[in-house]
Amino acid sequence: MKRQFPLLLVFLSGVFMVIQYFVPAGFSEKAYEFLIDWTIIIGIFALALGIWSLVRVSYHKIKTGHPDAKYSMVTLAGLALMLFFGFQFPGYDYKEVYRASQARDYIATNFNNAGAAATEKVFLPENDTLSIDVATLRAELPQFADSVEHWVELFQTSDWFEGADNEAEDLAAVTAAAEELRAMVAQYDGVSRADTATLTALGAQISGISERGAEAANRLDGITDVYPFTGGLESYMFRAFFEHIMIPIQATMFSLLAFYIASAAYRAFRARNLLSTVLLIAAFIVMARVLEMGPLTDLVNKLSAWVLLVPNLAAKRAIWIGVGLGIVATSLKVILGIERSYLGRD
Amino acid sequence: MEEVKRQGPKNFNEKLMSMDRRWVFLVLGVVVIAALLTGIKAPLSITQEVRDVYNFVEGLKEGDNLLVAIDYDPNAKAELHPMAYAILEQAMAKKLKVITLTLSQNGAGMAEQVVRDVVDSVSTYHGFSPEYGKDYVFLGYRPYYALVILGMGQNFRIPYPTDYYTTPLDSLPMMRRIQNYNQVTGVIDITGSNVADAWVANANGRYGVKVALGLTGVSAADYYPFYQSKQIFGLMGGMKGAAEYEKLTDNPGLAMEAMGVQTYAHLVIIAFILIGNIGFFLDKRARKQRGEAV
Amino acid sequence: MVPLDQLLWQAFAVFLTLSVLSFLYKDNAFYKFAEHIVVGVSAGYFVIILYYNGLRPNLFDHLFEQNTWDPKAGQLYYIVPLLLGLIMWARFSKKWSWISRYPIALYIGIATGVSIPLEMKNRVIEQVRGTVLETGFDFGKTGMLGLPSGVWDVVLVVLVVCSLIYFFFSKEHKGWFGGIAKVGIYTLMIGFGASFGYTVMARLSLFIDRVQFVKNWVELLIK
Repeated sequence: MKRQFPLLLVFLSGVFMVIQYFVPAGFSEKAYEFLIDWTIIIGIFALALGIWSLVRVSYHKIKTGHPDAKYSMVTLAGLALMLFFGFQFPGYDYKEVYRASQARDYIATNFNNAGAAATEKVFLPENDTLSIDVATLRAELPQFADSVEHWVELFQTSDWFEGADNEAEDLAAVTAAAEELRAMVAQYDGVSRADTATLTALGAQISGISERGAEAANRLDGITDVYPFTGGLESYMFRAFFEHIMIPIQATMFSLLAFYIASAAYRAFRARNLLSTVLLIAAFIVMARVLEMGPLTDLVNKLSAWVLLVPNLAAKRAIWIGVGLGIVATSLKVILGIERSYLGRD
Repeated sequence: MEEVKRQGPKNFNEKLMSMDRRWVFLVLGVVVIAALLTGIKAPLSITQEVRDVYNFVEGLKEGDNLLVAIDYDPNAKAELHPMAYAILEQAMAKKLKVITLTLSQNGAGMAEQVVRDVVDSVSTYHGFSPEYGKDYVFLGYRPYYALVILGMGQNFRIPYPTDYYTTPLDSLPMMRRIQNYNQVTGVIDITGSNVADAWVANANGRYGVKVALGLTGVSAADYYPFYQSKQIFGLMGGMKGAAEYEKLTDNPGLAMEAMGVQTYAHLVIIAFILIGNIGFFLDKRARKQRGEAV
Repeated sequence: MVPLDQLLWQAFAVFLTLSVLSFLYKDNAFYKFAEHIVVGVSAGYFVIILYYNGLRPNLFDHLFEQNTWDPKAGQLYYIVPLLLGLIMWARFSKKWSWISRYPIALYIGIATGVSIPLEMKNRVIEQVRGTVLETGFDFGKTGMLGLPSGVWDVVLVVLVVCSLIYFFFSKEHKGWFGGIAKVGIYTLMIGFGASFGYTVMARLSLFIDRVQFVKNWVELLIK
């Protein structure tokens, strides 16, 4: 169980992915999509591990009075502030709390989707995964209406928003449009997918209703969040920290490399023998592309293009071929269970 | 071979070869600042690999879908931001439908910044206000780029059920007609990491979508083989590539300004290499004359 | 007119920029402060991005919400990746860390399985195809440096083969074989030189960008 099963899992999933590449149809296609979807999700948890490790290390330094303890506090403070700005607010409940703008968008979204389903998706070719047939459309229309009404109710009852009373007229217009959507279901009685004339007419009608509904929803901008200090990806502080702390520090830390390459070039770049002289000359030709060379400019450009597209290309191609063969060989060793260092010890 | 160690003050050759590196730092810093303040311009010739990218975008029709991947963190901002600005402005002004996304972990903020500024600029200078969801979208970040790129080849909705702002994809009008790469005319990936490999291998290799790369100078030379084998249709390398693109789109920005400074900064580097080598040769000659091993 | 808050934020950013640059003289408290705050803020940023651009749309929405737009809404099998993701965290327990091998194994299997055909195609087959088929061997057309382009096609093929032979260590690099390998190593050196030349420009760009940033801020102040 501890070692054999993981090895079997690697073998099966690896072999499946290889086969899938050559037989991309039917079941294998669906399974492939699932595996991609799932692996991304699993990966997110793995990434979170790294962040937890950072917290543990910093906490440990503070607890043991490490000389850098005060800097570890700065690290943890930065982390905590970013979490505070990024999540909506302290004590927030995922299912209950929405921002007014978000709720408004969801109403508009539902209307837009209803319109799109009736006017576009019914007409897509049947093998197109976006397409829906008439029966699905009939089932979906009331769902769109339900969803809209759910958000309207939230506006009217939730403590998270204020100003809903002044918006009664627009809220009523939204509700009315939702009702109309629901009523449209009956119009599809006996209409088949082939009857494009009727479908077009009904689609236009639904599209009209949806547009009215979405417009009314967009007018609901008088409804505001009770908590002005809302967080999320669009939060002022979240963006400000990125743009004015992360960008300058990360960019400047890397810019130190400009100085180190200057000093490295000065100390280590010597024409010791023919090989290093060849390297030096190639580097000079590529560097000369940015210099003002007067009458030589044309020659330098031609020479540097030649260096890049003939010898450089040949060298890099040989390296890529080597790398490619190396990756394939290693991957095969992993799938066949010959290379198993990823399992760790034990 | 015995290393002969001498005491006492260094002679001229040795001084030439071993200045304190902080002198190198100081000279480079002063030259860059001075060159920037004087606003020197540099000559700029356009290379074919950059022109290919420009011609491709220029050849698209209004309403074509173009995917621009902003796959870099703030540390590659200097070289890649100018490329992203120039390409996005060109694309939006041409009324292409632009899909942006990021597969780099700190890239979302970079992409947001570019998109926001470019939309402002296009509205101001091109008399056309791109609208979110209709003319452009920002899909945001998903981890594990290789799988995300494969997933989009099946359906954008596998990795991206929602965009960056958690809005469902189907409620963005322009995304309703886009299922996978079949509806995308081309991908321009701007990156400093090996996300580029995944775009070439997974998007072009498996799904056949056209890919061009905008790369940092560090990796640019490595990708010429893909350009020659037509796995990518164009390549922009580093600040020079960015400046060329700015020149092609007649949209001078930070990269063109920086190229003037590059000239002088390069001269500093070349001068230091020469100084080091002169010291090296003088030293070699002196040792030979003294009969020491060289 | 630039809003005051923007001006202040920018001033803070300039301060941080100079703090980091001060490291060139020697390590100091300003640099340490900047270094540590960016680690924390970046980690926090990543958590938020992972939540809103990962966990929530790709997992929680499917499991806990009944949104009409979501074809995967209410699909309970999403509990499987949730569980697999959670047992990744067993790594922190000595006793249970072996369980975390299951999701890792799945991930490794998928990643390697995907890469075998794609790497083979893109780095090996396509590169060979490019060398032989994308080269036209046209001796009538003028190519680079005034010579027929076919000449450079031949040179390219020869240099690729020589460079590959340099990497072939199963036979000793002696005699004619050693001669070919020697051409290969010189080709590789030109390649590394080209990369170095490009890298110099790349590294300098990074510093020029920071000077441009500070300069623009000063210009804002003066205006």
